[in-house]
Formats: sequence, structure tokens, C-alpha cells
Amino acid sequence: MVKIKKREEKIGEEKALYTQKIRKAAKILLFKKHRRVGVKGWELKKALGKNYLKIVGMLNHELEKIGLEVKIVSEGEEFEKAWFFVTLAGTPTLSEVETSGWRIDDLAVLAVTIAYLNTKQGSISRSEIEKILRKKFPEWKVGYNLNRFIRMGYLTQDEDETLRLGWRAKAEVDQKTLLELILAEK
Amino acid sequence: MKGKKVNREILLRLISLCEMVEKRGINPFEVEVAEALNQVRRMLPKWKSFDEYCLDAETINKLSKVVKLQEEWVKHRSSTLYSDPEIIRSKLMELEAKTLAQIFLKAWHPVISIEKLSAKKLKEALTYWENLSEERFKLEKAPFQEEGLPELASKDELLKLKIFVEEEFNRLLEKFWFELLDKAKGKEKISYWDFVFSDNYEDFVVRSYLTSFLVSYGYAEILVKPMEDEIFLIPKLKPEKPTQTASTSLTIPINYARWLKLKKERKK
Repeated sequence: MVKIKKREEKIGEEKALYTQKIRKAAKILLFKKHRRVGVKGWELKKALGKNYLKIVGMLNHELEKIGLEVKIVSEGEEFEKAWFFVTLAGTPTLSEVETSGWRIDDLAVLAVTIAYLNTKQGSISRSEIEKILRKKFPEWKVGYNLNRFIRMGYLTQDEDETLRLGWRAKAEVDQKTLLELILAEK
Repeated sequence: MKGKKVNREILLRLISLCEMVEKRGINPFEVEVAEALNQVRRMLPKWKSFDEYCLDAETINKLSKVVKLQEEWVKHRSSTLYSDPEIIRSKLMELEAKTLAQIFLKAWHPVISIEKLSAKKLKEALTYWENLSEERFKLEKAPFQEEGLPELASKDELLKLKIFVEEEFNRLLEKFWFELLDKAKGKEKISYWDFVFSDNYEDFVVRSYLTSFLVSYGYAEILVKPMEDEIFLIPKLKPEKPTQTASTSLTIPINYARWLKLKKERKK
């Protein structure tokens, strides 16, 4: 009887500890630090302990209930070096994004840029993409939007003006779906 | 000596080829790396000076980048992301902006974040509040004026009173500039009165006020044609603040009568 009670107490303690850690993980992942969103795996490990992936998984389960999910962007296979973000599980509607300040043309410029970068193995000279975009959009919109996307993290620009996909494009855009939908459109 | 010069040229050409592949995203297998390395190896014993060794090292460095690109190229081609680039490019050119935006939305999962207010920031805010200029509070103590129309505060006054934030104003101005560019739609100029007019008198005043900043801040130029009794706005693709020597002052009176006249003209 005493043994069962002790076990129950231990389970209760563990449950409370995990709940606390899930809350902590939510704070770390959701709160913006300066301009950067999300954290690296090693930061989560430092804050949550070696079981951080398990805790992130549990947080993900909780977030799913409100239409959000934890996304991991990794170049290799090491989770400690990967970026962890919380993203919308579904996709927004046009009216929703318009309310948050996006214009149809801005989204179209971003779509063309990301899709084009994909056909060029992820890097393209700025002048080349500007030339392509100018065929579809007014000149002022092209330059303004490219600079804006660089600031927002969707693109990166080297010293020699080569554009690459930024962390945000990798975290937010399902590139496979984007290309498939472009190809499927009649 | 002549042979050395030729060899240097070969290396420089190799470097520029590698850079072109890197920057333009063209097929990295266009560079025959094995052959290039053989060439570099054959040239190595002939090099004597520091500059020549540096050139040799740079060539090897650029070739190694090409090898990395070749690896990525193979990975990309074998991945599920690979689609025929030509078909995608032609599709992108064919599709309308709205369709592209709708497609993008179906593949977009925006990152969610929360702006937090820490205890430290809260303390900073409190200090800021305590240090606010007294002028701001004098407004509340000022006697109520029954007569006369209220005056429009200038931007500087609003900034001084910390009611208006510079960043907010710039954002508002930028939005207004986009509207001007949209309305001009590639035309060189647009009628000033067409642009500032609004069905609502207050909006008309605000639009005229903001337009004056568009011109002052170099987002647009103003062109007055006295003979035709017309004023035009020339939107600029890149804002350039006019120099003090080149700038002139222009007053455009706006009042209720002018607005009524414009409204009547538009009804015709």
C-alpha cells in the first residue's frame, strides 16, 4: 500500500516537472528575442535538459490542439545545430494575410523568387532575379520587396549580391508543395 | 617568361569560370574539375613568387567550391524537390500575380512569435514616463477655447510632444508612396488634385498634408504648369531627398470651397 502511494507520488512529481518544462519550452520557442524568432537545439537542451526532444514533442502535441506546430529546420542530422520554431500548422487565407499587412503582389514576388531559387539550386545573382521579376511586376516593387525579404529573413544576400534562401523561407515555406502547385496550375 | 604569363591567364580564367558557376547557379559539371586539377598540378613547380602561389591556392579554393556545388547539384536532382527548371520558369511567367499568391499561401506556414515585455523593459518604460516633458501635461491644463477653429499640429510638434513616433510616420508615408506609385501605374506623372481628392473633406486635408511630405522627403516631385492651371506629381521609384540648394518652397492652398469644387467636377 505504501509502495503504491510512493509510486503515485513519484508519478505526480514527474508529471508536474514535465508540465513545468513544457511551459518553459513554450516560452523559449514563442517569445521573440530581438528580431530573431526560434532557437537552436543546443539552447533548448541547455534549458530543458537532455530529454529536450521529448519535451518538444509533448509541447507539439499541445500546440496541435490550437493549430500550431513545432518545426525543425536542419542542414544535417544533428538536432543541437538545428533551428526550432513554432509555425502555423495549416495555411493562412488571403484575407488573413492581407489584414496582417501583406499585399497580393508581395506574396507573388516572394513565390516567384523562392521557386526560381529552387530551379537554380538555391542561389541566384540579384540582377538576374530582378530582371525576371521586372517582367511581371513594376520595377519599384521588385527592389523594395527583395530588400524587405532580406530584412525579414526569407532571403540572404552575399557581398557579391548573390541571393540565397534564408532561414525563414526554409522554416515557413513547404517548397515541394509550392513547386508541385505551380506545375499543377493550368 | 611567356609560358608563365600564359599559365597565369589559364588560372585566372579557371577562377572566373568557377565564380560564374557559383554566382549564376549554372550546372557545376560544366567545369572539368579533374582536368583543371591536373593543369594546376603541372603548373605548380613553375611558380616562384608569393603572388603566384596565392593564385594557385585561390584556384584550388574555387575548384573545391565547385566540387561542393556538384555534390549539392546531385543531391538536388535526386531529391523530390527536383522539377524541370524550364517548365517551372515558363509557368511562373504565365501565371497571374493573384494565382501565384494563392499558390504560395497553400505552401506557407508562417512562424508564430510573441512580443514580450520583460520586467527590465517595464522598468525602462516607467523611467521614460517619469521623464516625460512637462509640455505634454501643460496641454491638459490649457483653458478650453470656445472660439476659433482648432489648428493642425505640425509633424515636429507632434514628435516633440511624443505623440507621434518617427517610425510610425515613415511607415505611413511609405504606404502613401506605394498608393501614389500604384495610381500612376507606370505613367510619368499624375494630377495632384486627382491624387489628393477624397469624398470626405477630412481625408482630403490629410492626403494633401501627407503629399507635402512625399514631396519634401523626395518620394515624389511636383510640377506646376501655370498656363494650364495644373499641378502634377511625379512619383520616384527611389526616394531622393532634395538638396537644400535645389529645393524651392511651394504653397498650395486647400480649403472647403476648393474641395466642393473638386467634388462637383467629379460628379459631372
